[in-house]
Amino acid sequence: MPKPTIIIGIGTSGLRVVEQVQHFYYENTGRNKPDHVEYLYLETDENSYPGVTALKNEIKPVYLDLRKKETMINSLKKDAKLDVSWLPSASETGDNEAGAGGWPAFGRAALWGHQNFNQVDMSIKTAHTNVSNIEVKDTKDSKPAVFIVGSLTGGTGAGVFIDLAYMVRNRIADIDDVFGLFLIPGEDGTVGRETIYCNTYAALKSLDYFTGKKNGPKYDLYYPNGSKANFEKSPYKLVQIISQDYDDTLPAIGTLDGLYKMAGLYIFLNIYGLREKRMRRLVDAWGNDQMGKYGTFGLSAIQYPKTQLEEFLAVELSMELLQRWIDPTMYYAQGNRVQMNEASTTIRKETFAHFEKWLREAFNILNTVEVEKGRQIINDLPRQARKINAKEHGEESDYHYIWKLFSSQQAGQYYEAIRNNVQKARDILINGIQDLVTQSVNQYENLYLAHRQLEIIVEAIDNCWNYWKTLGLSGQPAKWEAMLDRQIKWMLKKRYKSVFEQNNVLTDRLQNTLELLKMHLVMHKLVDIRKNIVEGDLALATFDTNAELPRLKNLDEIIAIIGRTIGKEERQKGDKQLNVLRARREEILDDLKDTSIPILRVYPSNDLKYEVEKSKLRYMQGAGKSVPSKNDVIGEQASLWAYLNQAKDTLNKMLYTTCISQFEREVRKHNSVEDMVISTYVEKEPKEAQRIASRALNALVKINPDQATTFSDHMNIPKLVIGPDQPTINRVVEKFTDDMNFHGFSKDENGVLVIPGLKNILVFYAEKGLMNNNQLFNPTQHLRYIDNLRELYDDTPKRRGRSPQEWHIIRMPYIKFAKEEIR
Amino acid sequence: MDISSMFFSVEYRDIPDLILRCVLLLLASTLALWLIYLGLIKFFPAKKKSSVPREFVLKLRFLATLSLFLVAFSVYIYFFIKTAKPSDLEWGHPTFYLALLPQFIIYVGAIVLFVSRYAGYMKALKKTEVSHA
Repeated sequence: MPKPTIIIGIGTSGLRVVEQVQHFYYENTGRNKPDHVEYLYLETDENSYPGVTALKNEIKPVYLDLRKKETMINSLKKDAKLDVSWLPSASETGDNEAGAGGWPAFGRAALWGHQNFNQVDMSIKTAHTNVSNIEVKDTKDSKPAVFIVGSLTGGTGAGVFIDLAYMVRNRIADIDDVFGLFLIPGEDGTVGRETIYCNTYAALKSLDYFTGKKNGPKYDLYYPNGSKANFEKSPYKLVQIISQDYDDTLPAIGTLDGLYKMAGLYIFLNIYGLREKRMRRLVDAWGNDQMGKYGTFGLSAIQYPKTQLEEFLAVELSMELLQRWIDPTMYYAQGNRVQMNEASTTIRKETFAHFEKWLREAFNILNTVEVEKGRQIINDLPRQARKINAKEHGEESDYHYIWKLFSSQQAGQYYEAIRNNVQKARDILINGIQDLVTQSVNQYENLYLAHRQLEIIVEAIDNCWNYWKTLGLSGQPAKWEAMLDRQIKWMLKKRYKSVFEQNNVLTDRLQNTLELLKMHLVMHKLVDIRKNIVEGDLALATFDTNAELPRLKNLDEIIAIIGRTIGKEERQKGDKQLNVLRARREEILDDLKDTSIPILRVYPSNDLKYEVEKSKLRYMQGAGKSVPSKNDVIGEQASLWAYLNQAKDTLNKMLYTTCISQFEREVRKHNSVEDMVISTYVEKEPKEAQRIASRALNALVKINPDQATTFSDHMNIPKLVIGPDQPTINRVVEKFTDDMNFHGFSKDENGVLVIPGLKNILVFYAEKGLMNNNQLFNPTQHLRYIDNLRELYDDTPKRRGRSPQEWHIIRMPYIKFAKEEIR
Repeated sequence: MDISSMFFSVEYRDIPDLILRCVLLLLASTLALWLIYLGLIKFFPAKKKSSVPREFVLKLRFLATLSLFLVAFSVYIYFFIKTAKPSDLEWGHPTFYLALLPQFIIYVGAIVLFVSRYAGYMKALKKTEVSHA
């Protein structure tokens, strides 16, 4: 087994890079990570969360709680054992509200404060335990390699990157391989972005403070959990610095996402064999002072973007599915399209019939109400009729006796019995409506259809209410008493005694009065249900099963969220966390069309649009369906209505992630996007392939401030072609040398890394660290714009009305304020 | 005078006799109606779980009773005519029609009763239908 590896992303940039690692690994193996690797990320901004792959996300978040900064800082300051001279004032707020507010001092405080330190320490320990539970072929490989990755521009990255490396060294005894990969901003665009440049400068100076000198300062302090750290060695064995710029006239990588991709590809290759290959060469380089503690690299690739195509297809299918759910014009019934307006009459008729059935059931349940133990009200009526006709009731008159049975003013009789149980009738109605909507949404997968059904139910309630009113009914007890008077008079009229039917007839009339009583008492419940369907904020629920009444407002909300998830409307202000499928589709397209990143996307047909259409056709044929359905996403058994009724604030994220990941899984299952052999492209288009390969020879950082130094190649510094097998690599290198007279890469053992299983990509990698004047690369000396950064760092506090010391405290928490020391 | 001459005679005697025959026929008819009605109700009772109100079923049974009564009365009229001698049928004499007056009253009365009840029930049914709609 390969060496155990832990990858720790710091801040949002770190997370994005780890996501790319996960993505590349998934693309090549169908898994998010190998067993010997653990992904972690540290973040102060709780709104930042891992992105999507078809499999369960393997990136474990560790949130550094930064709420109540003031309490946290004061609490740290009270601990006498801690050296907290670097802590900023508790009353400071930072440059912005999110996370560490762009202040490295807050980032570092977040690591130290509350329970965050223990949490991070435990996460490292757990990750170490997880990756150590595997067999290694060599004892020297038993200690894990740790890659810490992030940007040095924000508060979190620049605040924790040194402590974190030492924490790893403190937690994993005798660990050697702690590597850093840090993203810095390019040369252009300092105006308005002073904070990120100042943070970068401060971070590079801090790193150099612990790294640059052979007998530099010790990292000697107590941690907030009481443990002691005492290290003489630098935090990282090697720190790689990269930016969007090239050390050449080549155009910079156009987007930050492009840089994340390159960083992700680099880390992915390192867990997939590149680290071992590099280390074998770098050992000699370090031994001969050809490599120092800093490095950078050039990286390029020719790739058939299978995963992006799969994701693109998944996004398209997700949009189609969600659109199906909120299509106001049509729905699918048993695979056939049905126009909503054409089916309107049938829907109306069926819904009315359902309502009548529920109402009948609701009334029937009230018949079973017990007036005496073991005697249901419906069975009590014949007994009462006999009593009345035989004058055995003991009351002054038949009228009075019947009045007592049904009057609202009489306790312990029919009125009270029905009133106390009318909840059951309400529950039957709610259950019925819920069942109808649930079944409708599950069967037809159209929320507008359910919406229409709810509207019809409201109409049915109105009709029912109006009819009951024509009978003279009202929900008010006083009006019921008036009606009861009329009923009793009618009941006592001609009773068919001459044909001995008086008992039956009176029973019938009592039952009729009971029905009216039920209507009178159910009226209020109907009004409640109607009101809740139309304008309820909180759903009415049944007493026993807690089944919730579907509401139009709720449906409108779900429809709106689905619409926003598809991207039907523009993102609103404050919606920056909204996941939008249309935007994702555009992002994928932009990424696929991005020519500024050094990854050349190639396709078997040379036509992206054609590839997408072909893949979609293959998917539909493979899945044997013409339209996506909820079964693809949540399974056949799961209820779509229940799924959509989960918490509204997470529905967007859930829809977005579930749809994309499940459709990606389906797309993969049906092999809708086929693999491509990259060498065939190189053989067809050697010029374009050579152009992209040569970009790897340029480092991803601008150096040479004095216009004299440049990076130098050396046999001990790795330069590799990385592919799935030696013959493929041979074909490519030979094509370059024979046809293009390009000798940038060789096919000998030192120039080649074979990674069996690497699919659809051919990578060109060149490590940098040695300058042509035999100096070792150090960004604080060789970065082309280092002087600009220094000046910016010195000038910005004056413009912002801060003293150099205040500025230092918030930007450079690892070094005590002493000018001579940091200069 | 025997009972058969009371119910099967076409001969006019005098006014008291006519009144007596009228009263007897009316009583007999009422008795017949009651018996038929009772029979129908007992032998064809309303279904216990019917959604039609029992009272309405009783009303319908009364219409059926009237129908059956008219059939029975027609049979009676047949025998009434058959038992008379041809010489008794004095079609040109006004007293002959006076002698037939009790039968005529019952016959017409039963028909009028049927029609009026039928119309009343239909009216009530229509009212219910309109309310439901």
